[in-house]
Amino acid sequence: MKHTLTYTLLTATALVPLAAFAAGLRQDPNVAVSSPTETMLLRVESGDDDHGALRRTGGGDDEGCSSEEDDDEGAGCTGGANNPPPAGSVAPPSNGLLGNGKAPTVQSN
Amino acid sequence: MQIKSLLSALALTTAMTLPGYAMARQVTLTTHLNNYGGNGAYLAIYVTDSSGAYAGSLWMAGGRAQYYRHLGDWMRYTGGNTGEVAGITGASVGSGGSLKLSVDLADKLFDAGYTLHIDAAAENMRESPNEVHVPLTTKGAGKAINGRRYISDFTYSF
Repeated sequence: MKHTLTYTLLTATALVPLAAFAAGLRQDPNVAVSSPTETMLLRVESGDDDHGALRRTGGGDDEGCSSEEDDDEGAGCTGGANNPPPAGSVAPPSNGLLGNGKAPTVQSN
Repeated sequence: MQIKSLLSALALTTAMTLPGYAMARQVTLTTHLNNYGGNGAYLAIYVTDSSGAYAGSLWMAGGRAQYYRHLGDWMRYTGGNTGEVAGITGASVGSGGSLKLSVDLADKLFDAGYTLHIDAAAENMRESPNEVHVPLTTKGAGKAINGRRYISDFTYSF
């Protein structure tokens, strides 16, 4: 009887974090992909505004990506090695802001 | 007697375990973009503390790190460290589109001087650092904040 209750106690205590962890896994982000194209941006300073304009540039710039490659967010671009891992592929940063260390779930259109 | 002791121990250990999962609240961050007529906007959503120091990022809309330099304030705070948005990065948001994030935010962020910021940028258009900046308070939940250029409005709600 004593052993049974001890096992019950240990099991119940262990289940709490396990359940929370499992809930977190189920809520992995489902990143909806929007349709915008993304092309090279280049700052052009302007004398009448605090912030520069962004201009498209073609291939051959120092980033190593052509504009034709820019639509797929990371694939086929030599600069992609420095891109951050997308949501769902790695754990979010431990910055103390995200409760339970879970990434946001996202809807975008 | 033993049963009573064990039940008490069970209640105690459970009570000690649960608070770690209760110190956050589910928050929905909704951003609507204007029909600015350009390609997808990059949005950096991040938080500063009461002293104005960078506290961390919540989301990066846009996956190409080479464009992050156009998110001026976020760059200034982070030095462009993509580790700050690893695992919390998604697609850019199209003109007229919306971004809705559901996130468990630490309770400590509310009513403690923290401010949420959004930097925005889009191709061939002007950068818009700190386009939205809103103090995180319980009273501010549900109240729309207008943006300046790309963002029509932003709301956080519980």
